[in-house]
Order: sequence, then structure tokens, then C-alpha cells
Amino acid sequence: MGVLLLFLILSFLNRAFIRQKADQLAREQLLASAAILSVSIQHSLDDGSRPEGLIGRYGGEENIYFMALLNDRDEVIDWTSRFEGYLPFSRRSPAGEEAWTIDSPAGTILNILKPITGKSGARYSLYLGYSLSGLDDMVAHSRTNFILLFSALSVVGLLFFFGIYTMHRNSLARAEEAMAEKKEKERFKAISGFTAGVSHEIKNPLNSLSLLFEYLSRRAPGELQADLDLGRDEIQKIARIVDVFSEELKPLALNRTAGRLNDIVNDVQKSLAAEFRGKNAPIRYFEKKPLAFNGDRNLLEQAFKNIVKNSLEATSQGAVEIEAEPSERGIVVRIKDTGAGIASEDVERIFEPFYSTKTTGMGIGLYLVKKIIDAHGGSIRVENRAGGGTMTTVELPGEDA
Amino acid sequence: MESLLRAKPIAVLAAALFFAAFAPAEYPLSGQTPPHFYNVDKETRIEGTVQDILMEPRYEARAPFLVVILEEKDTRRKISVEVSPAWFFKEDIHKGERLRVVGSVYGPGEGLVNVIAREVQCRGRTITVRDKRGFPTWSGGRRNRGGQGTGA
Repeated sequence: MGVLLLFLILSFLNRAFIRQKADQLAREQLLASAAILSVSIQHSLDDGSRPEGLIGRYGGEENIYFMALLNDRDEVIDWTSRFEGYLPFSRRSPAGEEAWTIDSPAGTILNILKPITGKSGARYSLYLGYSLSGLDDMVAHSRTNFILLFSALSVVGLLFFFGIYTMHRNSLARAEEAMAEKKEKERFKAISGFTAGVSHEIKNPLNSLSLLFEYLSRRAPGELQADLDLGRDEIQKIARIVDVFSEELKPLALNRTAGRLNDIVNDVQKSLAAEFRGKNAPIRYFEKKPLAFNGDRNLLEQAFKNIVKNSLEATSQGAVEIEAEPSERGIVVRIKDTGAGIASEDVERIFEPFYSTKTTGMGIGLYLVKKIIDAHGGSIRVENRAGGGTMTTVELPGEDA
Repeated sequence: MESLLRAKPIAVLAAALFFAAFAPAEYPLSGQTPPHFYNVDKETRIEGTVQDILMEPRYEARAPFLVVILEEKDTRRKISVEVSPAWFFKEDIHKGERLRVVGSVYGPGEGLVNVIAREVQCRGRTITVRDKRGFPTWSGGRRNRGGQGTGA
């Protein structure tokens, strides 16, 4: 803005200077022409020429628009003009040798009234109109150039500031993202620490309880065996849950092998078919050509099973469709359901650990899915479909990865 | 004059070159010495009825000029009104029609008052043929390329 303002001031001063200098030059030229002409006319008058018809002899100069000879009563005796009937002399015009300007459709005209005194003492005045169209053109060009340059500078300035603003906005957004990520990591670290601590503290009493139930099972009468077995099963269930928590919070170690996506999807279908036996929501798989991957088959199966399971749970009518095709990065898999969709605020948080929209879930499933996909260098996102339901898109690097 | 040339010969030479470069080339000055010009000090308003419509050569006979002979309403005197080149004036004027004219009176006419028109009012329309200092609208100039100037 400062540069533009400086340019504006300098340009204005420069144009004012040029205008003043050119105007001064024009006045000097007019004075010179008037002086030359008045001397010539004076000589002609002194030689006995009649004033009428005298002006016609001196009409050759191109930038003189009009010229007139006036008597001592300021009456026009003789005149000539470049434009029909145009001689803007008035008795109210300024007297003396000071030049003045008038405006006309042909541009600014510089006027002067130059006194002439003949040898006989007769007094006349020479009235001259001098074209300043060159000056007008120059000023107009200067104005046009100024506007063009000013516009160009403004555009460059605006682009520059827009660039700075965009960079600043992006940096701010990145800083906010980094801050949110840091907070999330801190939260996860706290949860991990807490979970690890709780797991450790629970495992020891659970082991004691398990041993106690073993002991009681051997000693207790037969009618109590069923209750003791139930108690032992429940303790084992708690132990498994604790193990799951402990395992899932650890970093993943991938056991990569080459495989076909079709095999994973088949296993997922078989596994879920038993779990959702009575449900009228078939799983349909489409792939344009056999797609290969290089990754941890078990983990990827676990990830896809979790996604498809969520889709089946959300779908009451219709099918869960899995579409797979090659992408720039490798493989893209889209899992579509016809459920109720997902609230926009949940889309942001759905992959966070211990965040769940279901009343029965612990919020581990999708967290683990993301962890597995991330470990493979892929990406995952969930979005609502236009016609209802959600679409989960998983992108994985191809076989070469 | 000599002192002026001695004092600023470079400035005068530069000015001469400068103005020679930008000089207009449309209308030669020499040879156009009509007997009358638009004298701003003799501007008048007249109103009368059209008696005759003439096409007359004026100003070196470049193009025939429309000249209207009016009979003034009150004084019944005849007034010859030089309007503009005929090609420029696009309004139809008929004998017997009433016109109002703003113009400049020139020269002693032979039984006629001569007027150069600046504005002609005809059937509620005002046609401007010259600017306030008498510059002819048909000559155009850099700021006046739109042709006949009119006003309601």
C-alpha cells in the first residue's frame, strides 16, 4: 500500500511537472510566433499595405488555429481560422500580452493579444490562437500510462498481499492442526499410560482369582461346578479384554506378504456370514480386475472385517457393497452401506480411540482400522453418501509398496 | 523579439519542434478568410417563421451550407440564419415553421439581418451546431466525434 501511495504521489508530481514545463514551452513558442508575426505585420503596414487582407499572407503555421488583426477599437479588421466562422475573440478577453487558454472541442487553445504600433502611430493588435493539442495528447497519454501502471501495480500488490495472506492462513491452519495433533497424542499417551497401568494392576488379581477358581473347582461339590465354571469364564473374558487393550495400544509390527484383495474379502465375508446369519443384508464385492497388495494379511483382514461389520450393523435394508479398483497410489476400496449415515461432528472423531457412536462399542474398532491402514502407508476416510448411508474409502499402496 | 530569441533560442527551437510534431493536419489555415465569424459579443436570440430554405456556398465552398430565411415574429424583419453544412443538419425544416435561434449577428446585410446560428430550436428539439464560443460542432475535434448535438 505504501509503495502504491508513493507511486501515486511521484506520478502526480511528475505529471504536474511535465504539464507545467510543456505549458511554459508552449507559451514561449506562442510569444515567439506572435513577436515574429507582429514585426512582419508592422513592416507590411509601414510599407503601406492595407490592414484588410494582410492576415491571409501569414496563415501558414500549422499549429495556429486562428489569427486576427484588430484596430484600436478592438474591432476585427481581418482574420482567418482553421474552423468555419470560429474566432473566439471577445472584448471581455484579457488585455495585455499575457497569454490565456480557452477550451474547445479541438483541445485547449492558447490565446494572446499582441499590440502593434505602425510608423504612422496607428495602433493595432494581433490576436493569435495556438493549438495545445500536442500538450493535451501528451497529458492524455501520460494519464493513460499512469492508469495502466497504477492498475498493474495494484494487481501485483493485491496478488502479493493475497499470497502473503494465503501463506499466513495456511501456516495458521497447519499450526492449529499440529496443536490438535499434539493434544491428541498427549491425550492418547495419558490414556495409554493409564490403560497399561490398569491392565497391569488388574492382571495380578485376575491371575489370583483364576487360580482360586481352579482350586475351588477341584474341591467344590458337583452342584456348584456350573457356577464355578461360569465365574472362571467371566474372569477369562475380563483377562482377554485387558489383553486386547494392552495389545492394541502397542505399535504395530507388520508381517508383509504379497496377496490378493479378493482373498481377504472372501474371508471377511465368510467370517461375518456366521455372525450375521439372520440378517437380510448381503455383502457384494466388485473388482474390475484382480488386485494385489503387499501387506500384513491378518491385520488387513481385521481392518476390513471391522469396516464391513460396522456397515452391516448400520444396514437394515439393502446390501453392503465393496468396490475395488486400481488407483494412482495402488488400490482404492469403497465400502458402501445404506444405513442412516453419520453426523458431521462424528466424521471428525470417528477414528479416535475410545470414541464410539454405538451404545455397545468401546471405540476401539475403527481406531484400530486406521492404525492398521496408516501402518501400511494408506489412508481412510468416511463420508455420507448422497442417497443415504455412508461410504468408507480405503486407499492402500499397491504390490510394489 | 530579437532579445527573446537571443535569450531563449534553445527553448524556442525545442518548442517549434515539439509543436511541429503534434500539430493538427485536418484543416489548412490559409485561404479560409470568410467575411464573417461567430462574434461572441454579438450573440442574440431570435424567433421567427421560416420563409425560405437555401443551400449556399460558404467558407471556401467546402460544402453547401443550410441557410434559413426567417421573418421575425414581432418586427416582421427578414433574418438570414446560417445554420451548418447541409449534410450535418438532419432535422427537416419546412416553410411556415416557427424556429427559435441563438446566434451571432454579423455584418450589414442588404435588407437582411445576418445571423450565424449556435442553437436552433425546432418542434421542441434543440440542435446545437456550435459551442458557446462558436466552435463548429461538425468540425468534430478530438472531444466531439458524436455528430450533431441535440437537446430536448
